Amino acid sequence: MDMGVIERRTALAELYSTLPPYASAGFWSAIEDPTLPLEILVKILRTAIASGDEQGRCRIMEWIILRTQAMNLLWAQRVLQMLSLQADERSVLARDLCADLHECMMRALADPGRLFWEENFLHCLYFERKHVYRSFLMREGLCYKQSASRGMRIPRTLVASLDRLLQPPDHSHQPLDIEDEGVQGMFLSVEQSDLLQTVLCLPDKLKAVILLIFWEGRSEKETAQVLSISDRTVRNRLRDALKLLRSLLSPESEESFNA
Amino acid sequence: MHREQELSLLHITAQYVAEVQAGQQPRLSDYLTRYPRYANAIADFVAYYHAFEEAIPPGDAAPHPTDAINRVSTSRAINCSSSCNEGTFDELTLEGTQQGEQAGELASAGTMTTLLRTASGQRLLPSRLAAELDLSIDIILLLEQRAIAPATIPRMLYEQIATFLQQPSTMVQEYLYSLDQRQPRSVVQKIKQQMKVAEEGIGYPVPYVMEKPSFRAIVETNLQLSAEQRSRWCIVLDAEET
Repeated sequence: MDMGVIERRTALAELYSTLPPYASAGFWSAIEDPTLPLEILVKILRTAIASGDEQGRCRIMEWIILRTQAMNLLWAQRVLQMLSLQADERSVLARDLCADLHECMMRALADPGRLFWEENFLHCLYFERKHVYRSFLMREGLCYKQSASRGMRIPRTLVASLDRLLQPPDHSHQPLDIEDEGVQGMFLSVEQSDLLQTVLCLPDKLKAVILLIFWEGRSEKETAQVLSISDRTVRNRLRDALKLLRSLLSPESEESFNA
Repeated sequence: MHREQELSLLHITAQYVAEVQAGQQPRLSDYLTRYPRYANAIADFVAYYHAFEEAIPPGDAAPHPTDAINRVSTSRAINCSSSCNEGTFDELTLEGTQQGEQAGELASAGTMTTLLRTASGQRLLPSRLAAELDLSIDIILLLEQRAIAPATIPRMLYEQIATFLQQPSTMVQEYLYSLDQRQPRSVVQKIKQQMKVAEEGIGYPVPYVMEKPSFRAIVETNLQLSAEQRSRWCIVLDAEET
């Protein structure tokens, strides 16, 4: 264990020990101090759960959600930037994403085996958000999954485009070439900023190859060395990744990378 | 992914994020070379982090007022975390008064919530407790986190802690056992059923029985214990086992 980790744990443990006794008069005002590290709140929450104090559990969970919901909303809005949506739909989806995230977060916080929440709350939150984001991608048909067949429902962006055609904001005629959205998405996906989001749609074993070659600028040979695989495997994975991206970005799928 | 692997991945990626936030520009290839076992998971996290998280200011924001819709989703989230066992959120709220009294009783009965405070309320630094118990600071912190299988902790250590904290030995045991509630299979099954269709089959860790490391394993592998300390604790463990 490195010294930084020990120092961090020590500081948190010391801070925890300075709190008034659990459920005493000064306890609640102390834990509702907005500067108290969230890691301490997790520890207190687990104490409340272990003690069977349901009221305390609800109060602490609610406080944790209050402390994190502004940044969670920012995150949800950022995730939704990748979709072309109407403002009201965007707002509803952002709330849905936050609600899903809060559920996942509360499940994790209530699980005493997940100790890293008591050490680095924000980092664990990144992983929960990643999980919720991935579920969202799958719901929207934007994520490759071998075991899942491709959805046949009408893509959200297509519906939105049709709405815009029927009711253009400035009442002028603005026909949209819907099929071009997929093509545009493929071109945009070459850009660095979109590359990362695009990579997230791929199966795990293909991600590292794409990142090393297109994001870090490594050659195929260097990539093979880093991953301890052959040059041929690198080329095969590259080919598979491009094939999948082409399939994911085709017009009949959810072509929404060009928000 | 097994719980231990998940923890290692969290440590590795936390280190990566710390380097990014310190402006060090860590190279993904270095991490993939250093941790080949986690290469796919690291690549997945790094892509996600730079795509979505890097631009969001780190650190938690100030408490945000909740509107009616958020209140509903907050209640749902809180309710969901307890749905494996007792009642609904509404029932819990109704039972609030009783539970408030229960919490008060907990406080007055002096239930232990930390090893870093004596019965008289005196605060202790982990280093002080470590010196007193002849253990290293990181083992003290593991005990504080209740991250060591409580049944493997020697009785002598329970007694030493109890004497030093001026608490009954049973209370120390209660504290160290308090996070050792294993999830029965039926509960795990119920949680699985509650997962959304999109969440199934993607390897997200469902709560399961967690194997905490034994005290002996910790003592034998800990690098911060001196040879004398390690040998002393091994003798204690051997004596208690026979």
